[in-house]
Amino acid sequence: MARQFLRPDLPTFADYAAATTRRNVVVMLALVAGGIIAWWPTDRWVFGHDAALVAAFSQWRTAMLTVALTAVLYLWFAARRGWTPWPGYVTAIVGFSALNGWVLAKAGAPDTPWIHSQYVLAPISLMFIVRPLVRGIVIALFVTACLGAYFAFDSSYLHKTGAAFLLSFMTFASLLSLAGGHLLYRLLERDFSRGQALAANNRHLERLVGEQTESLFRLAAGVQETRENDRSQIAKDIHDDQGQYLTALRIHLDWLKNQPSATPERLASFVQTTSHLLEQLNATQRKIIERLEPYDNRLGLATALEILAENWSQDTGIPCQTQISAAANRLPPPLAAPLYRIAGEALTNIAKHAAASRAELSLNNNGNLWRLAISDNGRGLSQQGSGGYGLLNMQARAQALGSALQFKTPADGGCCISLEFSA
Amino acid sequence: MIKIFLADDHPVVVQGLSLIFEAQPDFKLLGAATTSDEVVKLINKGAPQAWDVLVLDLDLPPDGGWLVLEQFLERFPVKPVLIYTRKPEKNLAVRALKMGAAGYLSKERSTDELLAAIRVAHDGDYFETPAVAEFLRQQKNAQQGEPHERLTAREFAIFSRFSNGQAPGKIAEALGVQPGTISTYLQRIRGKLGVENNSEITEYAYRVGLRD
Repeated sequence: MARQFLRPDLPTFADYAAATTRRNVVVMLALVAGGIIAWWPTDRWVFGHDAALVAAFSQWRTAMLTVALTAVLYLWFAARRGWTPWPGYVTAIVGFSALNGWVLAKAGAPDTPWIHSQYVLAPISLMFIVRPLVRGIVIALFVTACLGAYFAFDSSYLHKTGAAFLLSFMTFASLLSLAGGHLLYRLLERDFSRGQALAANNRHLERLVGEQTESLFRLAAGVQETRENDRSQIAKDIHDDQGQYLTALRIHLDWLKNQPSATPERLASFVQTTSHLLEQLNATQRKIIERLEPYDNRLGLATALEILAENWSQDTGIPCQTQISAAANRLPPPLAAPLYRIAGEALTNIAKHAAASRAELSLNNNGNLWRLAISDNGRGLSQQGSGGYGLLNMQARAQALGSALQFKTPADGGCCISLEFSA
Repeated sequence: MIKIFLADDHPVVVQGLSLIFEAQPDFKLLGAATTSDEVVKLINKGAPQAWDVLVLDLDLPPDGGWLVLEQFLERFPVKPVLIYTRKPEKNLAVRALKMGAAGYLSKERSTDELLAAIRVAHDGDYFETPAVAEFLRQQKNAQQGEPHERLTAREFAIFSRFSNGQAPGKIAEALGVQPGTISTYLQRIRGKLGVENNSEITEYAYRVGLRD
């Protein structure tokens, strides 16, 4: 049932009722046609003695099939062209009624028997999923018309004994159909609205699942990207910096080997150059190890950030002011680690690109709303080029925290990178 | 005097190598570039006419040493380019040699080897490394085809100029190398084509339709 309600071509109950009615009528017409064909051979058996009656019933069956086919064809076209189906329904009902009356008269039924086939009209109306008021009006009109025709044809029927019975039977059948039709209509309507609600709920759930899946994918991609960036940065550090310092050291040692008579001055300058290369090598190694080492939250984030800023100032010679809420020490590792990395990355960027003479690192909270900010008085972000890995990495980490980096370039120069999150 | 140009993005390496080259009486470092853009600009200006050997790092920002190698050899097909890089010789060296490089040395090798390789490349030969051996073996294996198909890219450049009537002196001038280098090449070409003297090189070119 629910699947039918999900059909986008039946958005309202009126559409659904019209489609159901059409289907009911087509099924009914198919059943009638099937019965007419299936029972055809019994005519000879039932009316074997009367060839004229067999011929009349054959005519009746052919005419009934023609009417059914006409009605079905019309309904089929109407459904595709968007026409009203009612001419099809009326054709079937009026055609069947007239033909039944006609054949009953042929069979020698009493009185004017074609009228009698109208008893079934009221129950047949149950196939029509229409509003109770419409059903009431239609049934009343039909019954009145039929009864009227019946008595108008020969007013003497009014005085016959069966007349009162006929009248009360028609009334009872009509009332029963009205009540049944009303019940059916309400049940279907309730079912439909429940189905609609279910479908809407399903759509909502699907959207929710889709959104959550997407955000999980984004997160996974972010984590993967961070890892790849880290790895390529480390590879670059090892290859570019460490490798080149090693090459340079080797070249210098080779030079020394071929200089047996080097002057003391040259030797002194050689020692200075090589020890400088060794220092650079050490610095590179320290940088790589810092990247590789997992963040250790035992000290707490506040302390770790203070130490980070101190070391950075020592390495770069740029003073770095810190303003870190002590509560940051209680932030759990899943939050602390990416925040620590973002701060580290931002400071590295400042040292590399900003040409700043002052930096500031702050982490403050207002309740469970936190803000991390790293600022400097350097050239500003637009002057630092694309930023490359560093910025991408920071963005990916911020995304993993469910946040986003914000870049601001104050009027008095420099740059401020900040990030807000809740813990 | 071997005039060297150095393309390497690391100042410490350039600095060290200039010390090494300074100590060699027959070497002269003409200059150094730290980006591929700089070298390509020099190539387009025809500056390599004055260079004897280009020592090229493959990690050359922004476009990398491969592009430089390609552009350089397009303009100067027989000028020796020696790749000197941190990238390992395995895999990449044979590729570079096939493209027409005169040699491929990992930076892990000693500077003595680098100096020797520069000298050998300047003489138009290959400094013997496992990669060069593999490259020459592959060249030999390709001998099923016509003899001229065994010529390296650099040899073929000289072969086609010579067989189309350019005198060795002119070729040397046009390609910016010493006349002696061209003689060395012609000797190698004769060996590969299986001919006795230089006029037979031209005859060979007629025969296989490489000259009209």
